[in-house]
Amino acid sequence: MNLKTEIKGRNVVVFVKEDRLDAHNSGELKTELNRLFEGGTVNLVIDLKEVLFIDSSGLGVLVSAFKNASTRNGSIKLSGLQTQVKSMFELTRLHRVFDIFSTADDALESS
Amino acid sequence: MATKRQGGSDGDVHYWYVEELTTQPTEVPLECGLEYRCSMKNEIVLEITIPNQTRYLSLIGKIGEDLAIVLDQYEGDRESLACQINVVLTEALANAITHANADDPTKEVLVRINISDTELAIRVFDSGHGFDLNKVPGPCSDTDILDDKGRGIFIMRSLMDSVEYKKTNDGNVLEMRKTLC
Repeated sequence: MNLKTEIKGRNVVVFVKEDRLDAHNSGELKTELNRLFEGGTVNLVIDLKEVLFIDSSGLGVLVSAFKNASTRNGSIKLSGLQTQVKSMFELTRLHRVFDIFSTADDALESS
Repeated sequence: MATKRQGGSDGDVHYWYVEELTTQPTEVPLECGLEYRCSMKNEIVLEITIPNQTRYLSLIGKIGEDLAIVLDQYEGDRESLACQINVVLTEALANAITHANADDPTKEVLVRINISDTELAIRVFDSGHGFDLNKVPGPCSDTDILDDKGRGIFIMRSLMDSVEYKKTNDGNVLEMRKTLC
């Protein structure tokens, strides 16, 4: 899976550079996010600008990261949600759970 | 005479879909376990057999989207329909591959899609032990949104008119239907 991880001050941004986040590759994202949490990261921005399609397992990985961040008193922010991804969040009502921003920069600038 | 247009191939999976249909029922056997049949109601029937591996999810999803795009008389929002078909195929297949067939790479999954201007039916056949659809919890209240179990089934039930899971001679079939306006 093509991921780019960048450290920006107190935050870490993970850019998901795949057009699909589904049952085939979502495990790799989960592994990377767990690695970051275990390494001490607590504030994560996950940028999904290139993701055109997400399924329930992709959603599950993001929910898992949300729970992980919560138990560590950290935060997960999402950015760059495209049309289908937004629809999936709304369908499953997860758009009310996550802090969602247009761009990674917007997410980083928010408190 | 029906016109065939090649869809493509990806390793050991080949698929075809049809651009124009006639009113004469015909049977055209195709390669690698695929079959196309034309019926009186301007319907496309597509059958694809894939190895039981998640690497083929994007291929099947893409084929599903293409079917919505080529529909002849459909008056609704094609892009929306294409997207929905991609989602439900992905969810049903992922369930068959990872749960019903327990990620066994030696197994196969058969997908049959019947699509016309007015109706969509998707059947996903697995050869595993299956699972009890009725025992899958659904996120039906605010407290369940974060529950990881059942999100896929919930999505299928939300996008399709009906979702059923039944036993067959060789395993099980997940059958989803939707009336298209």
